[in-house]
Amino acid sequence: MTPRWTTALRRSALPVLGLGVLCVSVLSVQDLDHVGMGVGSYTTTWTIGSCHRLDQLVETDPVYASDTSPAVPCTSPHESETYADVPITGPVARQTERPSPLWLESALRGACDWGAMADFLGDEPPDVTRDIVVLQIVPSVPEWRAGVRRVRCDALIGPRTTESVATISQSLRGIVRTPAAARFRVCRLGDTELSCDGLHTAELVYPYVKFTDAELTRDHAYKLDKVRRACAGLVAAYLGMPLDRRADLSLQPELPGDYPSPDSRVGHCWVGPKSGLPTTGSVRRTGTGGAA
Amino acid sequence: MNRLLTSEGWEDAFGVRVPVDPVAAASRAALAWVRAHPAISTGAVWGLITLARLFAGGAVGMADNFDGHRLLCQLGVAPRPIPAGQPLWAFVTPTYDAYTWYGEACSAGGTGQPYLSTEYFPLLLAKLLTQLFGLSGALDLRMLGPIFAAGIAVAVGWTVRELPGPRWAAVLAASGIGLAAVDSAIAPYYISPFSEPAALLGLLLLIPATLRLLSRERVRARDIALVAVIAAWTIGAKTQMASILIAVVPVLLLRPWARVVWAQTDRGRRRAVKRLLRAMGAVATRLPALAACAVLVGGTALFEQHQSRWLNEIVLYDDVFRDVLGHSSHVHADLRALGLPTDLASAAGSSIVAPNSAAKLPDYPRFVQQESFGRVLAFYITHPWRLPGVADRGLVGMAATRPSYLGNYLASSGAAPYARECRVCVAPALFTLSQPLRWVVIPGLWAVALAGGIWLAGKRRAVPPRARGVGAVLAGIAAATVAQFWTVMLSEGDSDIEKHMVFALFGTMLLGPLMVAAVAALDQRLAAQPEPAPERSAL
Repeated sequence: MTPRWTTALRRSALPVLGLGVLCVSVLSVQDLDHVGMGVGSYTTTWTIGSCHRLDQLVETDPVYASDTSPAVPCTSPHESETYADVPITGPVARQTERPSPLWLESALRGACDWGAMADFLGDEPPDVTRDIVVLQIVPSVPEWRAGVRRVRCDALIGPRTTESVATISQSLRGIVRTPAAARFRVCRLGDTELSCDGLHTAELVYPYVKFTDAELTRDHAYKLDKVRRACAGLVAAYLGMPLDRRADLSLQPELPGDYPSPDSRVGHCWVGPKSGLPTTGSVRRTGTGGAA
Repeated sequence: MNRLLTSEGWEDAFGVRVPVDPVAAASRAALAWVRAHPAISTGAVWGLITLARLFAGGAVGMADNFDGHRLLCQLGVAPRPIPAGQPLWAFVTPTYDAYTWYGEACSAGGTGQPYLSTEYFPLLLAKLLTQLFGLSGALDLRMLGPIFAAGIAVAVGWTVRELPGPRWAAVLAASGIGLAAVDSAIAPYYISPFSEPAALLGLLLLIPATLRLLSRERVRARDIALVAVIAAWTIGAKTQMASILIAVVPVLLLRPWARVVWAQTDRGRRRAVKRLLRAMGAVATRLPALAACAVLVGGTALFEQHQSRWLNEIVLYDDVFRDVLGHSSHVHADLRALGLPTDLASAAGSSIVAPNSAAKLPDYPRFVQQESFGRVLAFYITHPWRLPGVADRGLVGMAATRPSYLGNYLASSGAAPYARECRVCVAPALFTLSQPLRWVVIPGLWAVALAGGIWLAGKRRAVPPRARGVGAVLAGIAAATVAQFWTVMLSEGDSDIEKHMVFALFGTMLLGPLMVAAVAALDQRLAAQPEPAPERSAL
């Protein structure tokens, strides 16, 4: 005959196990007001110049449109920095509940001005940058319910991939005028476009050389001459001196339709080592742009 | 003859030693124990089979299509970045590192609403086991393997215990259920960040719990509570599992909790009064079950109501734009029938994030504010000729058995990207073979199981309650499977259909073993029928 205590143990084992798991679960919840959600105060940091750590790809996905993580010092590793704060207006602002992410994204497209970010970064022609994009942050649900209708405009650095997320440990304000900008400048190694802090054979100078429809039908010599003439001034501004005073550098003009952009209708001014050997860093004029 | 086992061998009653191989003796003793405890041994065997099929030859599971985040972020973990050049979703990525998620970064699609699922609890246990065993990272999804293996062992063993009829038949039927649980169409989910495994285990446990509930003519309150708790767990795993209520509620209300004793004076009452009293008696004797049903239905409604509006929006979008409009030859007319502006026609067939998504159109807010699942249902009621097409897409999805865009192996396994494991490939093979005859085989199986189950459950005068309980379970699983099929098709449509159809598939797979159990239960009727007594037959 089975002893009574074993029967009692058998009957109570499942409820006790269930209760135990439930207790552990309840104890592991850090914030009972937001069960099943992230921690913290659900309050956005709106301060311009504040830096934010967004290590996970999902945190900058367009559908994850709010960010209530605490700001971090800009001297510590971070991924974004706030450069503006703009109001939300129009029909979307009249919604009492925060609309769905795609509706918000559609309604707020272009709310954060790219030009304002360029000003913040110190990015002006003939500079051209990569791996910095605009990230729009909207109020959290509690903030929206409380009537907050503003968008935080962040400069988000890249590259951000499923493999890794780039960080920076200095402020992005005016960064394009500093030597640290090399990682945000556009270079190429052969036909592969990359940032200038890696090995490269040419560096891009802005703006692009525009061609009319009629000019696009002209012969190669005409196009080459036009790009060369347009690039001379741009490259001089970029280097801080005429190109012929830099014996180590040469212009590498890219014509409309040149490989690897067969559909391109503009010319590009690339400047790089005359030797053709790969180099690192930027040739932008020291003191204004990148270091050599 | 009495014999004693000594360290050297058997010794008979006269002290004469008979040399016996100790290994053979131990085997015989083990076999005797197994025979004496079929439930425990069958459960243990299927637990071991689950472990073996999940881990022998390298762990298998299901790659994360980014849906895992909404659940795993609640455990304070983030996926370890995949190596450079590894294709997305091609391999299982079981290791997660500790990470602090702030605010809505951990919510259902960033909406500021949580994604709640009972799968959280196995995941929490897996996290504790990861730390206990000192594995790399804060959570290793492979720890879910032993947890679900234990769950399957309990479910299969418990089913053996509760099934009526000969033990061999109970073992056979429960083993069929075990086979369905370890099939390649199902098992990879156990090692995944998805909420499906909790629902699958819930479905498995509902079978013995219901058999136990219906094993008596009058149900016990604790058995009602057990079925209700398991049903709540199953629905709590994934909202689409609310469809099981179609079976659970009738099953809970099937039999009374107490017997109504009618007074002798009852005979003189009028028929109407008798009928009223009987109705009141039927309700009164089902009060615990009614309370459980009220809690279940109310809780499910509350759970559905608290689902993320954003996830509902995605599901509704897929239903309208991919399913209704994507398979329409009269898009404008269908939009009008749905009460939507015809400007949205350009988005027909699109997903919510596609370049031609309606979310990018100015009239999209009207869709969000006006459209509902009720309207889509009303559309199908007024356009019934569209339903065969919907059903066919569902049957094709079921026959595919599993998503092709999610790999089952670890990158270190050497398997090709997106390779799908086929360690127990019964369902994928059978469903693939039956695909051309899908309109006959799958609905035919549902119909036979439903009719047979109802027939057996209704044989009140012929078979004992335990046997009728098998019929109720068979009919219940068939009904819940059909309801699940239509829940998926009329809500999410054919978007990611192979993944969404896993419960309808699993339910269909369970029907075979349950039919075996039903046949065995019929046999019990023959055994239970007493031989006619000679003296009574003479009368």
